[in-house]
Amino acid sequence: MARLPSFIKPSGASDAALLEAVARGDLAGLGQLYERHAESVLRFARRARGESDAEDVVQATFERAVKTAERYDGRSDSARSWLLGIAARILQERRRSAWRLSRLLAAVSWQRTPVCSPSHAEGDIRRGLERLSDAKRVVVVLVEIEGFRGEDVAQMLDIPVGTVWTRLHHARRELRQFCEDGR
Amino acid sequence: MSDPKCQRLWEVEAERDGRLDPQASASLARHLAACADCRREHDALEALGTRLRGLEDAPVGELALRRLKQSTLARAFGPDAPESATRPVRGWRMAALTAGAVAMIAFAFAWRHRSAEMTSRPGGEPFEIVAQSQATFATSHDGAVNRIVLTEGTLVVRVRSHPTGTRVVVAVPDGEIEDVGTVFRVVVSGGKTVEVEVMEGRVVAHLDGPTLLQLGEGQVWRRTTAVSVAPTTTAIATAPSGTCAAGPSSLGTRPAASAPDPAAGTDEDQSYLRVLDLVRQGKDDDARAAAKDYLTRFPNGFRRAEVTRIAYPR
Repeated sequence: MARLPSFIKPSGASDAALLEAVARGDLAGLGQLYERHAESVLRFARRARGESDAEDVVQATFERAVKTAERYDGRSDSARSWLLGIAARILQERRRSAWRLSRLLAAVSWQRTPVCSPSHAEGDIRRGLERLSDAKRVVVVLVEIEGFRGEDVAQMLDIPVGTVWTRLHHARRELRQFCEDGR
Repeated sequence: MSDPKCQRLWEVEAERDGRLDPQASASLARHLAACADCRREHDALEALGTRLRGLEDAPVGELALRRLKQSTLARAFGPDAPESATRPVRGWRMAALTAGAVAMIAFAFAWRHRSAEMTSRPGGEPFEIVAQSQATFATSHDGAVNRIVLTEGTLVVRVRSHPTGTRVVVAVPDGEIEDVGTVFRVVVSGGKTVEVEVMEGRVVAHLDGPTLLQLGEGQVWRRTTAVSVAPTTTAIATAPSGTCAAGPSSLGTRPAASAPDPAAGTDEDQSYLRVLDLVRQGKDDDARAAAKDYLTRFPNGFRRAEVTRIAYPR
């Protein structure tokens, strides 16, 4: 009986294996990495930056992932934190290079972000996040929402861990003050 | 915030961040039992974290992610991307590669254009409406987007292979449906196709005569006797025993109309191929029955539009 050739789907490969292949120039796994982690990167970019830039950040993240795949140390089975680190550094770079414009865009995009009937409390915290500096917002999103440890965030952002704690402390203080006082 | 009264207030945040050693953490736990200020601080930080994690994100649409995937992969595969493991080809090999790629693309077009009743749309459109039932719709073209706005009724739409960046979207009252196309790579060497890889969508190819090859997203086929494959690359396509293959080719031939072979692809693939095979054999009644079976089993199947036309011809 005639049969089709069997095809081995690479869907079971670990992130480390996929990135190792990408580092050798085999880009077949990049699509799978995208399927696994693009949504996380997109959500992070939206929270940390706003709607307008988020898709471009995703593209830039995976583009840079291809170029830096050989630097993935494979410590974790999941490349999610590594990719979020790339995304966070991209956000940092853009913040430094276009500070005023990025804040304007972020303010506009936060206003456009569709929200499903937010409660008053949710609106407060959301506005509070908006008012944070980009640097503080990225840290509080990574720690409080994404659940990363401070040490991991320091590595992702390539900053001292003390800087992470400082930014986190000030971000929490500002958010609490905003929500309690409405300022 | 009121002025902190307890000198140990800073420890509450440090504990939350994992900065206290076990001894200090245990000490703080005992302290919290007796200190209202620190308990308030603990509760406030917990509440803040809960509110942050409870923020509702705007929904991430599957369609948006797939669209973004196309542009992301295209950007990553740009001129600055690392060299492919397949060496660049030169001279006549490039001509063969180009010819093979053209042949593959031509095949993809031909596959989509196989005989069908054209119910509407002049030539050159990236889509055709092959069937409609009490449909109220309008079409428009806006830059890179071809839009079909369906207000009511039923449409069966066939999307042709369209250039990169051209989108075909059916706008419905509660959303939109988009054909996301196919991104694939083909390598020809020495006058033979040696590799086919699909990054997005699916391709069906005829190679080496009647051989039918179908690849889905993330799948790679390599001709086993022509390419030295590194140990960690994927998908050496080896014809299972019993495959009718000529010479050293590892390609199989079209399956006879028989029970699907799970080892040879997904159940949906096999169901679809069974329909096609019956059509080719001229067994129209069997083909319609198989098509209806496909639609029952896979109501959201990738080939539902084509199979619908086979199941319910006009």
